[in-house]
Amino acid sequence: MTTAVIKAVHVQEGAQLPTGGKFLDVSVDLTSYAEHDCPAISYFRIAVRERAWVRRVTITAGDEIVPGTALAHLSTDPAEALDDVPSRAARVSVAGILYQPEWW
Amino acid sequence: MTSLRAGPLDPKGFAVLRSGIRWLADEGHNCKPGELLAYCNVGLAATTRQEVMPFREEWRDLQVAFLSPGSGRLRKADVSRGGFLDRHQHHNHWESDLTIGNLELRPGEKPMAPSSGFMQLRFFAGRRATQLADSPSGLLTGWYDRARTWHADVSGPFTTVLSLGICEQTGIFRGEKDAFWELAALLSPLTHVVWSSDDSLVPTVRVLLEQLQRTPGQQREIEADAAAALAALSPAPTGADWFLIGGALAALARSPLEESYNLLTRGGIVRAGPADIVVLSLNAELAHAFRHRRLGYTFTVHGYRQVELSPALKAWLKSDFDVVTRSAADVRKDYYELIDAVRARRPARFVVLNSFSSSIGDEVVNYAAFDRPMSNLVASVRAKELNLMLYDLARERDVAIVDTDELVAMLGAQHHLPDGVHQSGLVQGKLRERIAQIVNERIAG
Repeated sequence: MTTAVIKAVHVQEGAQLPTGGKFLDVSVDLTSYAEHDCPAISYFRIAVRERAWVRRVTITAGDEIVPGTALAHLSTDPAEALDDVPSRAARVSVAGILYQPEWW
Repeated sequence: MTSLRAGPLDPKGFAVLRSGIRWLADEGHNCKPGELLAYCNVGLAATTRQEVMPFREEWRDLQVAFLSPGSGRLRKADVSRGGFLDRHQHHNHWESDLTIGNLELRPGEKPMAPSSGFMQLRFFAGRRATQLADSPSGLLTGWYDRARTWHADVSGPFTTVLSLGICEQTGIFRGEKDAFWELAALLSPLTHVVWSSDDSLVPTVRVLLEQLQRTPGQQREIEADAAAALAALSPAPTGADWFLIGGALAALARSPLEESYNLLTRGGIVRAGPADIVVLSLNAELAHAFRHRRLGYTFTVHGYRQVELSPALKAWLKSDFDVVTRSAADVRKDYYELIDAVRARRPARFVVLNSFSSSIGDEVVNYAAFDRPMSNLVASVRAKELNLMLYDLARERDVAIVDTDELVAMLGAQHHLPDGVHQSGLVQGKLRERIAQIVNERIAG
């Protein structure tokens, strides 16, 4: 695996995310790592494990991202300055999901 | 010394032809009873007028294997001529005194030949996905939409077991060498094993039900509609596209649950089927299917093939089909309908492999992020709901469950089912044993 594709972004800048709020869906295509038979492509939903404000979203649906890419900036305070270095990664959870008809 | 004698094959109205012998064991090999030693291709030549030739769809890929009648060191006779003469079935007549070699015994070893004095024979037949798929390099090595095997030394009645799953059943049924060998060794000799491919059409229960109910006229309408729609596309479909759609249309036209079969045995040609035992897989129940907007038929294709489709075929699917979500409730309804429809015709036994339902790599602490019904979205939840549905089926429709979920949870998914579908050899072996047990119990009554 070298990249993932953003299939859906479920948040908007300025919105508040509750604990467990859905964040985005990605697909991981294993054929980009090696020619691969079924099931070459897996889909995952990323949700947040803590309450947070969405301050900046740096990806949109269809973007292909590499590991380590910053997807968004979240903060615990809606007015927190964004020019500081982020203090830590957001706490998230991941679940394998099924292909969704709207992606076809 | 034990002679490796083929013995008679004498179907009334036909002469049996054969290729040269192809060996699977080396000279001097220390053979065990029942071990597969060699095989050849077989054909039939009518000696009296025949309305329909048996094995009409499989005549290029009908093969017979010779089983070791006992223990000993293999000494081969001069029965191989190499090249096409060992591949084409029309070069030799089958003669009952054919001896392919012998088993050399050491002092003190006793021969273990069966009472007939002949080797046991096992037949294999493959129906090519297209007659162009010529791959005669070995035993059942072609691209088949259906492959099967049976024992020639019994005359029946045979119990037909039909594998209608996806790739996870292929490993269980066809084994490490794709020739059913491991499964056949576990089954009653009265078992006729049939494997059906999921290459061109995934056998969800909805698809199987539609195949069962589709009339020839409706099939012609599907084919005519597809031909017209594809011919009107711009850019036009490529040759490879026509191949792929041709395979799908051919698969839609068949109904594996209703097929009957010819079996060549020592006693002649006998008939078997339709399937007495049907083995299905919950893994075949894809969450989404294509439904034709005008004709209403269901088309199912694996996701990894779907993403490989050409722009032309994707355009056809987008313009002429809806993508429908198949909820757990839909799958449940289809299962009941299919079982009832088949049992209205005959008392078939249904066996279903459940799905691995633990989540590999999931870190879910809160399900708020998943819209309901969650079984349409979260893979592990869908697997759990479908597995639960099977218990209702077992109770209300007497379906036998093969519990892949429990077995993999016990053995460890990381080592034995790392992607949730494709098993290790150990898991395949355990599942094979369970299926064989169900089949043998049914045959024993």
